[in-house]
Amino acid sequence: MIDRRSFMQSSVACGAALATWSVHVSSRPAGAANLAASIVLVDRHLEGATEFAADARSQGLDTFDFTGDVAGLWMRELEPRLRAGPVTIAGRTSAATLFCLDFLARDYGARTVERVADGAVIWVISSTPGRRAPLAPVCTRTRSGDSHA
Amino acid sequence: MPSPPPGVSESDFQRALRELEGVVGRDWLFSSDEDVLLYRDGYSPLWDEAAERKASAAVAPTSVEQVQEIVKIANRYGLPLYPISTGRNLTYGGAAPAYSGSVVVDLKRMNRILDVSARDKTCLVEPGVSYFDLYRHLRTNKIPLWIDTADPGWGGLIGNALDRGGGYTDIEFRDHFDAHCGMEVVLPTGEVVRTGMGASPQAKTSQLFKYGLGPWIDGIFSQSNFGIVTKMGFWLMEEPEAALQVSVTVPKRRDVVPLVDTLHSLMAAHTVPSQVNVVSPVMAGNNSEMLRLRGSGGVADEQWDRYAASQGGAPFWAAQFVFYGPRAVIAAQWQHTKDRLAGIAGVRFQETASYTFPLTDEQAEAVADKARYGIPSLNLFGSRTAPGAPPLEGHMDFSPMIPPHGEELIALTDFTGKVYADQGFVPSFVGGLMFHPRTMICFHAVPTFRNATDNARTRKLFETLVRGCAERGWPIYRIHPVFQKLGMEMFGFNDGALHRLHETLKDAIDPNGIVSPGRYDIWPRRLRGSNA
Repeated sequence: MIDRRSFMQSSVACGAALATWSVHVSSRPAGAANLAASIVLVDRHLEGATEFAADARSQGLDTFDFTGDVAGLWMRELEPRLRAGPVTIAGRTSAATLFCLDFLARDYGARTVERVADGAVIWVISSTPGRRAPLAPVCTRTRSGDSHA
Repeated sequence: MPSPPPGVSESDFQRALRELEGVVGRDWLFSSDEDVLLYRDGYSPLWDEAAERKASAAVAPTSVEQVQEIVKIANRYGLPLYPISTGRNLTYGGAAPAYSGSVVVDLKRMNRILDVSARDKTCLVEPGVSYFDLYRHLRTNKIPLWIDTADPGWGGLIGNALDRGGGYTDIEFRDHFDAHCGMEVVLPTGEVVRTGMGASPQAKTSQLFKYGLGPWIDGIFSQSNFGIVTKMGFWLMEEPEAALQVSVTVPKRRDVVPLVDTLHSLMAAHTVPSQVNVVSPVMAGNNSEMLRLRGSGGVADEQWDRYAASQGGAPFWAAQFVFYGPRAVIAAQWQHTKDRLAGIAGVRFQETASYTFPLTDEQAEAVADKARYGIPSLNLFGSRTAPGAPPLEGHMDFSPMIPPHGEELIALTDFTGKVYADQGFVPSFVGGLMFHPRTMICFHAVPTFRNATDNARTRKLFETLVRGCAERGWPIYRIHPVFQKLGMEMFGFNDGALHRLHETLKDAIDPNGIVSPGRYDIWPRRLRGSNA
């Protein structure tokens, strides 16, 4: 079973690290090594969160922590990045958070490609070039008089 | 490769798919097994059984014109369509069609916020706009308006309103269908209609006055299958100066009667503006004695009160609600509320949170009960499990509606407790939620599973609850597609006159029966008989 340290050592957060991913991640989609830098999410509510986040940051990974509810992070950070193009997101969260993110990320052509339980759940959601296009193009707005739209 | 819909030949289905592809482009037609899997109901009470409702394909248009073309193709081939907004209401069927084999019309790409007016406190949106999207738009542009969000907040404004869902803030906004003003609909014939003042092309009041002139037609597009809504206006709440969240607890079981009567009076006077939850801390959890009492079908209040006393004096009932507005007004409203409730022996009052608006992003993140402040969240997921525990398998909402009377809440709790016990289930939590001005909804989370044996038991439980509650005067206000025929049977006054009226409308509006056949048990003529 993968542990936290070996997970972080083989993390998908940047193109260079992807090339050294260990072989048990057999579901790695083709072309992942060319992905742009990705991000790591950590739920502060969970035991071991501090160490996991420190590990991620020490490897230069864009790391965001949150407390239980991932909705704000989704709106501010994750959705805009998924909308902009292929991205890989890793995380150490509750199973409920992964359930929500997996569901939401499908609209952007992303899937959960790795999932292990280690008290919390450690996972990777990846969208890759070549999969079908995401469902949501950039929202367009129209203006109308005094309106802000 | 999924099979074609019933009654559609394989060759016609393939031709129809090619024509749909011609409308939306190859990337936006989904017909592989992997793609169609995304439209499966992950909480289905028929999981992996022959009767499970599944799509045959999905198509994602980006404009009204494309929706019209899709409808015309469907008419040519007799292709059943199932429009979804975001398809994320998992407890009422999610994205799966009511009629198996339908082609899902996924409207998530129609996700433009077309207009927001801070002055008029209105917005106009497309069906793919989620509560997340509109909240982010308001925050980013510093528009001092609130959404009223469903909980969880990942769903779509239009989808939730059309299924008559509800929220948590002021009464003018939390009945989501009531808060809408004007809609645009693609009829099953392909024609586009606008309702209310929107039907007058130059009107400046399309999102300000609901009724327009002549019959008010909007209602027929809610909980129905008479068209595909492509735009909807909503009224939005002006951001208040402040808010105060409070809790009122009462010690004894029968105290819920004066508690609810008084709160309802205060709500009707607009003194208490928010949605009110009335829950029972005593009747929550898995204590064996509590479950025995709940499963008994009704014991004397004194027995319940003795049990409550044995649990360290936890209050029997707790009501939570919020005041919004200027601080001086809130203080007066809260004082008046306390004065009105003071007559209940042992009543306790607590202020649980206080805010001044606008909130910073950090402050908004820290709010515990986000939906009450127009902040969409995903907190509800995992709220029934420990963080590291495997998730429960799913549930359906059973949503009976009762008058705002405490004795009805007690009676429903007694009745349903016995039903759960008789059928070997742990009863759902006890609460009455006052989303609407004159009723309480007593939501139950009825579990669903990934095996046929347990799902057969859960379907039997659900059916017993639906029938039994309707017989006692508590019919449901909303229901999962698998049970919509049963639900509508509970509205059978005059030998099903309402059902016949629905069918008359369906035959006139959708002569080829292509939009959401079977939704709320409204079947087109060509599919009546074995389905109806």
